[in-house]
Amino acid sequence: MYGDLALQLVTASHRSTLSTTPQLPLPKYALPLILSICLETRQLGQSITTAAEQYGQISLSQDKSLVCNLTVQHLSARRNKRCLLTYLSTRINGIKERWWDSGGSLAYLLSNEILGDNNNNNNELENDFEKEISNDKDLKNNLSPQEIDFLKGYNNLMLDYKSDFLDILDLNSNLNKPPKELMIDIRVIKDAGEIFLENGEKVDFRKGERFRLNRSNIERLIVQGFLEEV
Amino acid sequence: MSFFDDDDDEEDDSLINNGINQRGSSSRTTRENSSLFIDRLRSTVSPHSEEIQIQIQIERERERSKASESIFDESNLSLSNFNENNFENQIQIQNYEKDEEDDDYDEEEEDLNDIKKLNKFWIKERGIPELSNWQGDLIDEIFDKLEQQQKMVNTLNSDPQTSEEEHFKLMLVQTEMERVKYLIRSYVRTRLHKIEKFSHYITVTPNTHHLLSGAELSHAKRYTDLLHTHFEHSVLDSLPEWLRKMDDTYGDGLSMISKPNRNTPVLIYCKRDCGEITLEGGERAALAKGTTHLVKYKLVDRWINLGWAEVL
Repeated sequence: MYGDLALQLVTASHRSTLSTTPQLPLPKYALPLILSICLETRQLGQSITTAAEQYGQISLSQDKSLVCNLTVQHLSARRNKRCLLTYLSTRINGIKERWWDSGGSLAYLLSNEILGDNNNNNNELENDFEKEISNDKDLKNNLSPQEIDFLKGYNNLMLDYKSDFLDILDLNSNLNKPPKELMIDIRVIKDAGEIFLENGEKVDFRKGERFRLNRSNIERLIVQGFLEEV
Repeated sequence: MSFFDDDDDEEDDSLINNGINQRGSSSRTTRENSSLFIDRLRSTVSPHSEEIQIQIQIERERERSKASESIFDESNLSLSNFNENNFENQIQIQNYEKDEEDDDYDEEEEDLNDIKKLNKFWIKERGIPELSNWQGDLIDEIFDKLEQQQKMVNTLNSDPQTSEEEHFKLMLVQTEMERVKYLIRSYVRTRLHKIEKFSHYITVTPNTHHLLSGAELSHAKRYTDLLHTHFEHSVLDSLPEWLRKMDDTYGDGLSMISKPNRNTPVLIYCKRDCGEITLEGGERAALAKGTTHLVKYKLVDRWINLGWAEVL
């Protein structure tokens, strides 16, 4: 049946958005499915064109079954297109959400991939299951090249937008709740090395240490998983 | 350090607990105290450094004598009202009470300070499905103030003469600044979200352009381009040519350009008598002053834009 594949695509995409808390990893880009839908749509288009050419204008107004046939094909083609675009834009929303969650740090989003790859190469003996998990978590692996282009473009776009007032306000800081305190207690969960804070102070973050610092200074490190709020 | 949980009640409590001062005299002390502090803050940004030194000396002495009178009254709390009011209080007022605000509409509109205004626009922006006007002037002004205040804080923080108590006050000021920044951030991002959602619609509808700032408009345009390029590269290019358009309208009248859904319900509070509206079913409803309603946005957008009704 026309449109079955498209339905499959949309249902899968819908399912992936149902659970947002905790956020599931973005599913892998369904390239084979998309290609076959495109193929189906092209075939539909082809058949519509040939039919129209073959029978010409006169029979179109007389032959009801032909009109019906063409209408169904036409609608299926359009529906396919709509499903494809829906799939893409759902993914785009997911990608944007992750971009904001990561504090607008493109390098951090895509660096997951490097970490994941190293893991895979180093521990090839690891069982398949774990491999799968680390694969799932890599955002970059699950994106299509076009989506990565989009992400980069979006990153540039937002950089342009916020650079006007970056000295006063960082648009990317978190929005969960209004800040109540200036300072927060944090614990270092991953070595982050020496970092210069806004006031010129230098702090050496080593695993296991605890600090009390200005929230705005270190928010980014929390988002990136180096520090943890106590 | 959760002083911002404190609302007016607790402020009053601390007044009563103080017990040393009468209500009147204590608040007077407070005012003097904090105004001194503000003067000091102001003086630090002006370039006459010698004057400041002298001024600071004098003030320090005066403050010291004050401090012995009332070591810890509510001056710290009232300090957070310095320049920017404690906005948690305001949220509470705006969300629940309203009692002070509905007295006289015209009067109130002028009384509002920047942060209160921002707060209102923020709530409105979050409440309605369409974009509202970009408050460029307001945001600029708040940015200026923030920058200025950051300078003051920096100067005072690095000043070795700043006492322990003053450091404490500075911390409150800084926290307040962070909270204002949060408001702006949320406001801007709410708008960006809407702009990206309806970017194509905004781009092709010139009469929405006046609602956006220049940066937002260019963002909308470039975002639309980016999105369409992405769609084209991903799938559209491999479809038959007649299916590649991005602005088609389907047979059932559904357009590919998504518009704000003006049927979204909004919760409004009428600050004035807004007359009657006709609901879908032909029923009529009166929007009397001081009442709260949940209605479709398109039925009341006029009143919201006039400021007669307020989105909650």
